[in-house]
Amino acid sequence: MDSRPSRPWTEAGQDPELLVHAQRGDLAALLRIYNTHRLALWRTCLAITRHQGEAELLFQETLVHATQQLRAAPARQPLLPWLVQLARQLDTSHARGRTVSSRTALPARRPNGESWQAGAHGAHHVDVEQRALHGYSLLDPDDQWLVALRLFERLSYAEISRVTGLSVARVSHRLAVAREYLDQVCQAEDRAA
Amino acid sequence: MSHLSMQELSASLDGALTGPALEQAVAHLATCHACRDRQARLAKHDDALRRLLAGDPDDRALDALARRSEELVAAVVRGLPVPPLATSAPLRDDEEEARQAREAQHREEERREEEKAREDVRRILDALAPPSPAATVPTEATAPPTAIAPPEPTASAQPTAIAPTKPTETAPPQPTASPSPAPENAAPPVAPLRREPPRTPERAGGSVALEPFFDELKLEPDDRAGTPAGKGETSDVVHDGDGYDTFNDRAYAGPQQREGPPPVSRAPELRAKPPAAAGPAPAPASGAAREGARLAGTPPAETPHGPRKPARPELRAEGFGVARKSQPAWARMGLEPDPLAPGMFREAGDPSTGDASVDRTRRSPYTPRPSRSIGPAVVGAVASVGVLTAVILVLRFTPAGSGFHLPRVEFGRGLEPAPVASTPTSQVRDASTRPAVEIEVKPTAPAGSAAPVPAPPTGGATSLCGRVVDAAGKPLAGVQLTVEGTTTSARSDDRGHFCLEAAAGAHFVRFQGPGGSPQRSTLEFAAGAPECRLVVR
Repeated sequence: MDSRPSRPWTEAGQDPELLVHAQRGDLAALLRIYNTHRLALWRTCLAITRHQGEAELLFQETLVHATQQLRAAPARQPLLPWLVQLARQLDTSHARGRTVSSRTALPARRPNGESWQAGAHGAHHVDVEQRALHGYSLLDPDDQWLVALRLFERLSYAEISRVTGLSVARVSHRLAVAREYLDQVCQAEDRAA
Repeated sequence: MSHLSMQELSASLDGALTGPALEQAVAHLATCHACRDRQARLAKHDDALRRLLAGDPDDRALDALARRSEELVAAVVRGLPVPPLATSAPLRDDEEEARQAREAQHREEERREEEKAREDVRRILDALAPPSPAATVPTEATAPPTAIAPPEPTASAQPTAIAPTKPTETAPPQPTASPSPAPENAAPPVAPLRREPPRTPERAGGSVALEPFFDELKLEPDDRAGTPAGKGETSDVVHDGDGYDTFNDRAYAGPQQREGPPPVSRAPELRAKPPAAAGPAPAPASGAAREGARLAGTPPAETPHGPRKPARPELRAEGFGVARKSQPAWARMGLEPDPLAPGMFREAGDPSTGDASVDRTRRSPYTPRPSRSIGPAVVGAVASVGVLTAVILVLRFTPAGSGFHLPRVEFGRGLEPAPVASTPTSQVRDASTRPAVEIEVKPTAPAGSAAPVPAPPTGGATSLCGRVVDAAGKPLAGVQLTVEGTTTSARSDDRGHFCLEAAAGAHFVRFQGPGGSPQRSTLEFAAGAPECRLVVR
């Protein structure tokens, strides 16, 4: 398994104490919580939106909403899953106003804002990345979420199970289905090309 | 060899397999190329997604984002108005709007190019036009001014600000590069560009664009128009196909009154001279053909509109069917109406005049045969019918003992045969048919009582057919006939007919009509037995 730390996802750490202070109006405690989880929250926003500008917007909106709903935050649990859940809900509410084609269309640039041709990856890698991103955008949002937790956050099946509430077998099955669909989409686009 | 499932491959890729499952997957992947390739594909997709979405952002960008977020959070905590959300990168909608704006700008440029090209063409045409009052009007007065908007600034570097007034709503879009009108960012009103005056080609060293073209024309002086146009001199003279100098003709009033090309069929001498000035055309020397018609020698009269068509040539009385064109078709076929049969035709020649030269045996294939008298045919037919009727009546009422009897003909099922007499002569059908045997079936006791025991069957299977009738001779339908001791049975049809098969010899046959009591009788089954008639009392 990978060595990326997964504690923010599964371990509460200092979140409960800071949350208590934050709920009493301590801005420093609240900002400390947010600074602890900002990187993971940023990656999640980017994985959800697949667009840098949209991810920044979603990041800020998530924090604003979390601050407004701070009293509803889980008291003795890590706050990152709660923040990410807020972000997903916001994206869902935003996505209702968009068409499916606009949500699944290949963006003009990479999700990090660079051009597709940037870097020394080569045209073949660009094709692979574009097809993989298109296939990922066609996945169900829940499957996208599982893939993001596994690939981007590098959580184990057990950790994903703990974060999402699904069983380990279910997580394994859903990940396999998502990968198979991704493979089929990429192969179909390969053949079409 | 069964391949690894996608779940096993996925779990193997994620390192989630343990124990025997891991060993089995590793052993299979070591030998199976297909599964290895498939897992490599999955890993390739995972890597591509990680490169795209799992990369950490730039620290400065993340710090800037964190600072903006801190301001927002602080405003929310302190109860202040939430400042607008800002992003360092354009939003997807902004990108779409920018793309649409670029496309709109591209279309506008294309439209401008087209308009410019059209303007150039119009300018050239204006330059080529003859000096007339309409052509001297300045172009600015006739053509609308063209407004060309300056290129819009692309302000994507400025952060896009969105105010989160509600949790799921965004503030009205701030002035960005979107094409929507924004007062502070709107382009100042652009004065219409002043169109350049139309450049008229100068006659000496003038327009550069038109000069080479007219230099190549090498125009020669036109003696008819009287306007010199020297060789090598720039001129706006245009010659038509006949060499006529249109623009040097002062009487030329425009293309609307220009005479079209003469008709092809017009004689060359007529085309060479104007119609008004042309005198009476001389007659063709030897009846020259004109438009394919043979002229009779009369010269055509001239009219102000041109030469009049010649009179219709005189038709020849003989020759190639000209004289017959006025005759009806039947006359051209050598026929005439038949006065005896209206609508019919006969050969030409009046019979009342005794014209014996007409051959009446020859008929036109288009003429129907004249009607003849039908009296003899009718008389013959009536006589034939009468004779046949008389023969039938004679045969019908011939006495029975005379040896002749008209065969009875029955049509359909409505005519039931009358009860025939018991005499054999009344049952004769043909020479090979023996008369039917009438068997009376009486109500008897059950089988095996006092009835005579029939002789045991001796031969092969034979059939016995007949009719079941009642005492009045009316056929009985639905009577069940069963040969006792066998499984053979039959049921009489609507006309009372039945057929039974049994071994040759005498058999007890049981009869039972619908609703009646069973009866039995002895029937003799023999090869070639006549049709029997069972009378059920």
